[in-house]
Amino acid sequence: MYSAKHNNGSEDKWEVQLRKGCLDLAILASLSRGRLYGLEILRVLQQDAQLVLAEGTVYPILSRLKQDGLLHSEWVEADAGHPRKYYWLTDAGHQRAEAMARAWTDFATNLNRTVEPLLNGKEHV
Amino acid sequence: MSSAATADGRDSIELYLSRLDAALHTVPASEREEFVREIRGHIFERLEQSNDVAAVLAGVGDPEELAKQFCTETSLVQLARTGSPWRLMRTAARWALSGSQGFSMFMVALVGYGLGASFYISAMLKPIFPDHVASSSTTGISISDSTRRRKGTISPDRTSRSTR
Repeated sequence: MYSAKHNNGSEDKWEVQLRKGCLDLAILASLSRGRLYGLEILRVLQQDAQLVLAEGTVYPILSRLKQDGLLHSEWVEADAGHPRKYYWLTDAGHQRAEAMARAWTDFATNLNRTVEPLLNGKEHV
Repeated sequence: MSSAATADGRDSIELYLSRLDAALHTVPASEREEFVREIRGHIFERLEQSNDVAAVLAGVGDPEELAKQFCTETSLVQLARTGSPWRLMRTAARWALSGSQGFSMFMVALVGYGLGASFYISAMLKPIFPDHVASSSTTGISISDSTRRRKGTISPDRTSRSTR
């Protein structure tokens, strides 16, 4: 993610911004499955959403979402080693996640319609 | 932690975490400790699958960058809650150091609050010193008049006359 910052290609910059912009929604959506700790959330983001990012990035966002009252958190002692901080959605978090999911779907549908000619090669008339 | 991790590896983890802690010096102690503890847990759990400490630390990202992200993310929330100009300026100043967008935001806030404060002060002084406080345009003219007059006193022809 940080290496992409130094990339000259504006396409890469745009993709980084796009991923960043979607992180809040992706994190809230991953937590709609239940209680998860940071590393589990990262696995969901990397495997399901194909969001490649510096792993540390999710933790400041989790802190902010918690400050916003969208998440609860709790430290749980792991069987072996270090305690884990689990997160789950508050009622407000559920509502926010659903509203964001609807907004995202509408947005994607409209934009897909707009970019369709590019994908079908119709732009060269 | 993996038993295979060397003493060097452990040192570089502690160095990483102390750099993170130091970069978070503006954050209240309880929040800072909790955040560092969370990152520590992440690193050690990653090391259960890999012995490559350098790769694990690189995967988490640069500690100063991570601290900056934490400050930007969490103080912007406080900003939204309080809306205090002082906090806005502090957040914007920190943000200004992290990119051009933040810098322009900071400059806009600085100029805006500066103008606002100066108008407020002139308005407060106007009833006390009605002759000295004027709108900026008239003040501008009076300054240029006085400089012209001052220039006139040291005009070359007059100085040459006095030397004669």
